[in-house]
Amino acid sequence: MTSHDHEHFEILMMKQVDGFIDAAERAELQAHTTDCATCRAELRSFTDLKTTTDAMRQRLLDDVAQDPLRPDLPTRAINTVGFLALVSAAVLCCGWIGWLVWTDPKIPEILRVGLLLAGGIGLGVFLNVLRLRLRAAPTDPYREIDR
Amino acid sequence: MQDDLQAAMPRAYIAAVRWLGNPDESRDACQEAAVKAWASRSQFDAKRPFYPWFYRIVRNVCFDRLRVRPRQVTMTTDVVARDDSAEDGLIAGQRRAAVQRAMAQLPEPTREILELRHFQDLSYDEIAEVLGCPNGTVMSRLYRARKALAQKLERDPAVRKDGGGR
Ligand SMILES: [Zn+2]
Repeated sequence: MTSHDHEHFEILMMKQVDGFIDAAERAELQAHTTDCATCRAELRSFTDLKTTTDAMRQRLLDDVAQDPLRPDLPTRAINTVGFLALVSAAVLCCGWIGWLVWTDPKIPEILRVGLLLAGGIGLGVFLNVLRLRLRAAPTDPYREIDR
Repeated sequence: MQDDLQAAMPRAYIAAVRWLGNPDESRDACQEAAVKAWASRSQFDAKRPFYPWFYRIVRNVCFDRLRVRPRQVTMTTDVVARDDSAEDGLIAGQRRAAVQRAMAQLPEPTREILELRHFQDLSYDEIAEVLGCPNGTVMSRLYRARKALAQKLERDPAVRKDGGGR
């Protein structure tokens, strides 16, 4: 009763269940399943399976549609430009203050050197912290979810 | 690539929640995968389909998370096959739960091809791309996987009574 090219009909059944079958193939499969009880039963169980998993998938899609996921990508290009602009502004600003201090004859020389040194170290620390913060913030995967 | 990633997120979520079970962790895993994909975007061949490439990243992220987790919590059936009996009938809910149980019993490669077709909704070409096998092999492997799942399902007591077992 089942002396047929089974593999051929297996493939047609897959295409049928998945909706990738063309008209000629569908007719061929239909003709076969009217005669072959084995394939008819298999096709039915595969179709039922697909119906069930389609419903499962739809529920998951509904879940994610309620609260859409947006990829939280690091916007590194913008950060780099913004960071460079900030650095230039900070360096210009500090340079100007430094120059004022350095050329002020009313401040004693030791104090001038000390002030500039402290200012330089402070600026370095500030820029480094800024750099680390800018780099860390956009890649933190928990940022979106914690809200 | 940013648009591709945005479009891929619902599907990626399904992949993640099917492997991980927990919705919050799955969202987290998707974000992690998106950041990883973005970081390695130079490795993506624009001539090839985007999703199969991204899916592999999602899958790796999920499997890394599963590896550091105790075995018992890998499957939370309630999320993927919640039994909302009032909503659409007891039989349908029981059947979803039974399918979920049966899939969890399948060996990983068998389960994966079913995940790719039934839950990721990938075409045969895309499945071939993910699994790295010829297109023709996909259909025969899918047949064997579906048959294995149907057999497991037949043995499930919840299905046996209305499906007329063996
Ligand atoms: Zn047959």
